[in-house]
Amino acid sequence: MTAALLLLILVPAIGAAACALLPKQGAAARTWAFAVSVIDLLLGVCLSAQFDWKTGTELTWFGSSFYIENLQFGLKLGCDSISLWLVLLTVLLTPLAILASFASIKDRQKEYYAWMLALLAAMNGVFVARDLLLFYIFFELTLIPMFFIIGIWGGPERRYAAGKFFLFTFAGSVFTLAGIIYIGLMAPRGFDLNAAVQFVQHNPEMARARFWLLLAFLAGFAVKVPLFPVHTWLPLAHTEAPTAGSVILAGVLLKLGTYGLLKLALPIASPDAIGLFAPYIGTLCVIGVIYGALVAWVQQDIKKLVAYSSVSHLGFCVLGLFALNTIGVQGSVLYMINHGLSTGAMFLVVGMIYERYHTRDINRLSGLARVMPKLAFFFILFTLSSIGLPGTNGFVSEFLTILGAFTSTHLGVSYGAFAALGVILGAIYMLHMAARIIWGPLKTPDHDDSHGQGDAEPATQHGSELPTDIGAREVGILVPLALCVLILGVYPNVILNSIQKPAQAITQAINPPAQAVAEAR
Amino acid sequence: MTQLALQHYLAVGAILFAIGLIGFMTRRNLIVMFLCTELMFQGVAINLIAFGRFWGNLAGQAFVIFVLVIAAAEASLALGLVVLLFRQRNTLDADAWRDLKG
Amino acid sequence: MTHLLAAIGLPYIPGWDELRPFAADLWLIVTIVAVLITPFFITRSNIACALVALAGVTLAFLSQLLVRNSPHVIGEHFRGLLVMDQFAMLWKLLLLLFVAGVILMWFTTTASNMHEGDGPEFFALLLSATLGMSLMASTSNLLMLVLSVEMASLPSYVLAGFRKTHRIGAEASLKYVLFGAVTSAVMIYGLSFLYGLYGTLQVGAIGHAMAAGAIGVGGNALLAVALLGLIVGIGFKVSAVPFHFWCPDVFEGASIEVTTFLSVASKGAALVLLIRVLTTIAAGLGFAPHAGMSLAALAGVIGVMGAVTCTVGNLGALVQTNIKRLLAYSSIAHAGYMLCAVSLLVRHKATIVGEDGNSIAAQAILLYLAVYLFMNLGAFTVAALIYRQTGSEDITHYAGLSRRSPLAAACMTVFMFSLIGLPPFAGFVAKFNLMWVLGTNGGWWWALVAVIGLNTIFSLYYYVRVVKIMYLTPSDAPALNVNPLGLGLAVACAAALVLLFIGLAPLSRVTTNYGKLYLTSQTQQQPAQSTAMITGERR
Repeated sequence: MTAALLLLILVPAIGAAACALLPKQGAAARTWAFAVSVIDLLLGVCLSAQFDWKTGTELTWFGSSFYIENLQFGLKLGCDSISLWLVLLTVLLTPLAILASFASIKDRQKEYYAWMLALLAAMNGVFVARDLLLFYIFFELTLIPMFFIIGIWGGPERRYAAGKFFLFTFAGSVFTLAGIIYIGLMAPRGFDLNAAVQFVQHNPEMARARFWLLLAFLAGFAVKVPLFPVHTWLPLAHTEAPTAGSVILAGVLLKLGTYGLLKLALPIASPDAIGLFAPYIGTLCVIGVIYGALVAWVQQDIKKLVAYSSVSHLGFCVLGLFALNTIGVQGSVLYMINHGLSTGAMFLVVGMIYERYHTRDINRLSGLARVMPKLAFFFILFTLSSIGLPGTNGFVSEFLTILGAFTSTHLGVSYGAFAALGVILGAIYMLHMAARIIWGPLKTPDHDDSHGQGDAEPATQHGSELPTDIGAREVGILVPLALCVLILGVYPNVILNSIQKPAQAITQAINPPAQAVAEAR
Repeated sequence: MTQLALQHYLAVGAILFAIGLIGFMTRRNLIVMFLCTELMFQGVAINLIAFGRFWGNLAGQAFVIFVLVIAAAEASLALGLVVLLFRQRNTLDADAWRDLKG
Repeated sequence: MTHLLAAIGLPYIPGWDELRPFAADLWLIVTIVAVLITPFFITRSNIACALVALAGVTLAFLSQLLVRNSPHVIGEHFRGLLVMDQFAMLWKLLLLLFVAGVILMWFTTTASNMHEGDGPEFFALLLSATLGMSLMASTSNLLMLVLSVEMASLPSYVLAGFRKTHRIGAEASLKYVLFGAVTSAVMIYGLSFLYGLYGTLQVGAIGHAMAAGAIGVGGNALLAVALLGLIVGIGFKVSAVPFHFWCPDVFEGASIEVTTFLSVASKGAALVLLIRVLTTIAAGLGFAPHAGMSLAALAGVIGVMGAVTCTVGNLGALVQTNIKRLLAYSSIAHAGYMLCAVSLLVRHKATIVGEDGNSIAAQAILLYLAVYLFMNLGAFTVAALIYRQTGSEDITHYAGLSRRSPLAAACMTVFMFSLIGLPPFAGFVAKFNLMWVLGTNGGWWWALVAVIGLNTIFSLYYYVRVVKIMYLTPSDAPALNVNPLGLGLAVACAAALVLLFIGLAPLSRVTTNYGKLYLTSQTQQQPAQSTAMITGERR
């Protein structure tokens, strides 16, 4: 029955091929893509029904006929609770992203939806791969679809953005490949992910290599996350990508980096090496948090603002990881999910505004609550979630990562304090934007200076078939996300409990036993 | 003077080869450049024959026959091309053909 | 008369058993003759010649498929002049498959332009070069080495300048001949010293003789000259830096199917030859770093050469705008990657050549070539199709190709991504396998892995640029009406690349099984004088 793991990848992959081969352009492609992604969502639900949440035993699937002996490479899939949550995030966000593209993508629909499905297959593949090489293959596979989605359907700077995205992420991942080859050559069971990690941890001969392996993995994953100095591709790619592209990029693709750090970089790193690196990485994270927030503050473009907020948020996420204690790691995993939900939702809402007014300029929009009350509601909800207001999902994860940093033996109070400053800045820039756009006198590109005329119809010329406020389809997109935001805000334990064991396993392997005992007390 | 030994033949071969190589690199006339490659082949031939004699087997001599054929084939091909190019430009200067960037 | 016969012995007549393993080469010879006499029977001879050549290559391919690796097939033939083993078999199959592809490509590119009556010459030359390249994989004798290299080179020179009226074609050909002649002279000069030092032309025997006795300081100097000469000669064919400068010019000047042919077949054959010769010598020395002469130094030289070659190739490609020149530099880079694998001559950590002669370097290169063949054939085919329609080889004219000819653009994208080495295309498999094999040996070979990784990043830029122009740059140029046969060939190549990626397991199994080199072991070795055919009695 664990074949659901394979189907999770195969269904969208075959769906993508079928979509590309559809006889004609048009609505058929989008319906097909939506159906396939919903099937994938159901598969994800099936998988979580099979999963033993109490013991957290890994589900595995192994395609023995594909095993290549001299490379020791095999099709090995599996998922633990961390992978499963990320898979669920992926399969939830993708249908919503596809649904959100219905109105905005008019050109070359077949190709667009085929790429979306291919991307879905690749992302699922990354999360369930239990073979290092397979992991790398899927990791790289996400590049090509995203390159085309940004490059063909993106904004005015799309060519540059797509190229930069491709070049940065690929350049980083080449180092990861070198590290993976090294592990594969050394480990007796080759590329088998769990066995390789075990081998690296317990074999004294690997002690010196673990430093370099950590560097190799950091190079690949830090670009993908992205950490502070190598983040420059992200704002560009986010801004230029079509709405669905931004949603997937922020919601899932960035998580590939943090997932890789969690699943590979942390376990294979030696305590010495990570002890050496953690303060530097922590510093970069804090710089990223503050820098991202400050730059977001001065943005005039809503989408760019949300993009820079991602840089800031991912800083928290990695900070939690490199706190190297269970709280921090748990918080970080929760952060991955929450950032996916709230930032994904922010991009969706921004996309809806853009579809109507064809601008994202803060200065040209204001008072939208007057004409679009429903949209305003969701906008504020997701803004609050993004800020991390108690009661929304963002709060718990932000709190846990900062707590992790405070109590960490590797980082310490100053890191936590600066990160907390980032939270305040986050509240400032998000509310600053929300206040200007949602409240105040109504101002849209068509109705400049039409102060206070609340019942004007601003969208008639531009979004011809779009209603003034968001319609049923758009509400349908946002409601599931809103529900997740609220549920996880009130009851985060549904995730936290299930990821406690894997998180502990990771931190215990890193920290010398004495520290682990101290932490347990 | 003592008898001619192997090294004398090798020296002649090396000198011919070196003259050919240096000439090829310094001269710019196409015909002369080809003569230089021929000189190089002759140096090789002397080497091979000397070694064949030294070892007392025929491998060296057989090799030489093939080398001469190869040299002849290359020369005929090259001279044909030189004629073709001369018709286009009316010069034998190698620097005249710079259309390709290299 | 009887006295003379007694003196020289009966002429050597090879038996059927010895000819049969070389059925493919014999078919090529028959086809060359058939192509040359075709115009006597058929008036429209160009197309007819192409069909005859295609049929001949197909027959050769099939007959090669039928050659089993039974004990009397594997081993030395013709008194040690030629060797047949699994390595040579697979190379011949790949080569013939590729040449068939090139002939198909000719139908779509030059068939209608070629001057009537040039066909027989063109295909005779193409097949002669193929024969030479096929024999290059089977040489175990210095004389055969020179003959096969020249057999491959001389027709290539003519092919490069085949467009007689085309000025840059003639110029390219002249450059090719000039430097080709010099490097082959240097190579034969080096080989003459190899013969002089050990008194035999058999490569296997030379290896054993190296292991057996010291040759003194002067001898070592001569040995260095000898090996340097060999590397120069083969390096020219591989277009390894610093002997690469002919490559972009010849590729630009030659007609596109000749460029395609040279880019894979010529370089592949040279690499295969280098593997065969150096591994045979190294086997004689037991793959030990300091046996006989410093094998480690030789491995180092080749490794550095490979690293420099791929770096220069990739950096050179960055600034190219002509698709043929771009692919020429790309082929230099790929030859550099493969050259890195050739440097696996010294046993450092892993067993690089097993007891049965199974060489990991040979496996990696065969796998690389099996993939590279489709990538280059496909990329050049698309370039040719576009050239036929637009008359331009400049990549800026590829703007908007995704709309003007969606299928061609999609295929080209597959080739470019595969050339980078991205999954899900077979280029990834080839490159990964190469890195894996280098890493297997550990030590400084890890540096080569790093160099290949870095170069992959450089190469990303120019390959992706082509894709960006095709897909992301809008253009008002009209739709292209590309030749369906050529498009079919490109689609087939693209499909092959995807299938080889999915069929990674069988592909790797084939190259593993066929990576075996026939290496004369110490016990099998006989005195050189009695095995060499052209050896007389001692004076």
